Amino acid sequence: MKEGKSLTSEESLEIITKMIQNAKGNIKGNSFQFLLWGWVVLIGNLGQYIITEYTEYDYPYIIWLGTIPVWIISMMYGYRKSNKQRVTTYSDSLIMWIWLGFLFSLLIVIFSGRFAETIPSLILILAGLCAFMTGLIIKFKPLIYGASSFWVFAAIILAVDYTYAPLLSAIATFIGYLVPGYMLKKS
Amino acid sequence: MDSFQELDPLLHSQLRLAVMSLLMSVESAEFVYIKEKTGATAGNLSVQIDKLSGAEYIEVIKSFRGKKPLTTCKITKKGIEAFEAYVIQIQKYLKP
Repeated sequence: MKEGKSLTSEESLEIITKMIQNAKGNIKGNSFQFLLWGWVVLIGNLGQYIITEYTEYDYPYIIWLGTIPVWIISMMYGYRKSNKQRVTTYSDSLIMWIWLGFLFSLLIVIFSGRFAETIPSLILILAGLCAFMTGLIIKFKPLIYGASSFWVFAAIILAVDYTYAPLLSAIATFIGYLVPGYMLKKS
Repeated sequence: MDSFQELDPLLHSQLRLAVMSLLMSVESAEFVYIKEKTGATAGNLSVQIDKLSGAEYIEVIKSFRGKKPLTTCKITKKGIEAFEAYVIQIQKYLKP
């Protein structure tokens, strides 16, 4: 691109359009965190279900303590990625804040001790909303539809016996989160 | 002819307009990213960025990544207003 050349209005518009097109991000980069958390949540839920159904152990949710190293890996990955990134888009920041908001909500829901048996459905409702918004921001329809299924699963969980909540959450995670995650990776 | 004001000379230039359009679409971008997307030479881009920064259209943040110096650019509120005014003006020129 050279300086000094006089521009016509058409050329100006062409430059503006081309640069805006150029700045469009690569949504594929988001799939790592998606797949990581998808599998962790799926395995955690299945584990909780198996402990509840097939053992006498009173605290099946202890399995979620196993996610602590995943939080560390996830945060380290996010930090390293943001360090490598040569450009920050508005959608990158929005998605990050949406999921940080989810994390804060999750902490209250889990540790307040006030939500008891509604916890699994509340988590699905919140995760569904965050995934839904992420899907809208990156304009990725499979995620928008997948995230919507979380609301349906949340309603089903509220209607059936509490014992099945982890199993239904695992199915929801697979359909609403992991499938779109792999589609995102392939896209 | 009253509605045809002079186009902002700071924006009515190929490279500076490209830089501003790029920065309009992102939150912030590093010098190397802008260089790659505009295809400009480092020297020329440096000069044009200084001009835009001098007019307070963009903010230039100098920092370090490890031991390497890092230049990050961000559009300012004044820059956004100037860009919008420029686009409106261009549209007036294009209208028959």
